[in-house]
Amino acid sequence: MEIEAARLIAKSIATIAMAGSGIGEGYLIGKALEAIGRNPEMEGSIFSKMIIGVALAESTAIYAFVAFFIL
Amino acid sequence: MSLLSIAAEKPNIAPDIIFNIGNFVISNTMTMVWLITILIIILCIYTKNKLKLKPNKFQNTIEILYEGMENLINQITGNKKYTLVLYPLIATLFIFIVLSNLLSTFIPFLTSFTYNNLPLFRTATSDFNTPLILALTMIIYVQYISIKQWGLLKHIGKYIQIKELYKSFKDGIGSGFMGIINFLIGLLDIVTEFARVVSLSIRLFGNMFAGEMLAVIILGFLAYGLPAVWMAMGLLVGLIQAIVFGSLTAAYYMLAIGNVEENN
Repeated sequence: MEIEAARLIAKSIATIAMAGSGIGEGYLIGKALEAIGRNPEMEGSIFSKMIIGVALAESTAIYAFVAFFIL
Repeated sequence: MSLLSIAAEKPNIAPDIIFNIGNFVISNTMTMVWLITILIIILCIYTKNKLKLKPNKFQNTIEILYEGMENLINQITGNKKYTLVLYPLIATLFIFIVLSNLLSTFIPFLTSFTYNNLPLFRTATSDFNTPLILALTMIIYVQYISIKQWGLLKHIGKYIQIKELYKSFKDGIGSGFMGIINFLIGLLDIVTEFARVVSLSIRLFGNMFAGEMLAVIILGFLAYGLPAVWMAMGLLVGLIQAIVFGSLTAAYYMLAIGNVEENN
């Protein structure tokens, strides 16, 4: 196999990691909305914590993105 | 086609080297870090000299920032005493990372200064060295705090739990096997410490680097309107990553000393 072809395949495999980030973020935001629905007074506190959690979950996709450009 | 797209240079992962002093390399992210340090020092001296009992607009802004950061740290530590101990460290980290993420967005012409056809300044955290050093320093500091709090032997005992293994075998064979599993989990915590350095640094670096890279790609296919939206998003990302870095460091710190109060 040529090196360029192998590199392209590696890049496409690296992007698969982004799926996990999507699942995580969806779960997180869904649960946060559920919590806000149950207890609307806590919205400010829950929302700010949700944003931090989303940033943490997103980091997996970011790792994949960096790997995509390094490869 | 050229009406809609602007070809911009893709950022390199390695920073540009401006000049050398002997073997010591001065890169353009380093000059940025110096600039930020000087800015922070000037800001501190200015704020200190202007402090009044009746605050003006500037002092009000600083006080809002101070209280916001104090609330954030208080949420993690849950203890006023540790908040006061941790505040200088986490707040400095926070201010430094926010400035290094966002300074080139706040002052757009900053990256246009050149020296020998190389840009003189570049977003400090988009070079892997800066986040790596920040994360490494923080984890080593947390280890130091743990040793200071528990003593060297107990600190090593957190990772190599021979005492707990001996205790669980004394209770019986069944709990002995559970003891072996706990021992292996303890060994895994050594890996966790290294993984913390990697995840902290790559998270910060990746977000800023991906931001710059995507800005170039977006300029490549739609140069009007959309880059502004992405830059606004970048402001949010830069702020959130600084908060995440600071609060994770605070959380690691609290984990390192956490069980003290339960034992006493």
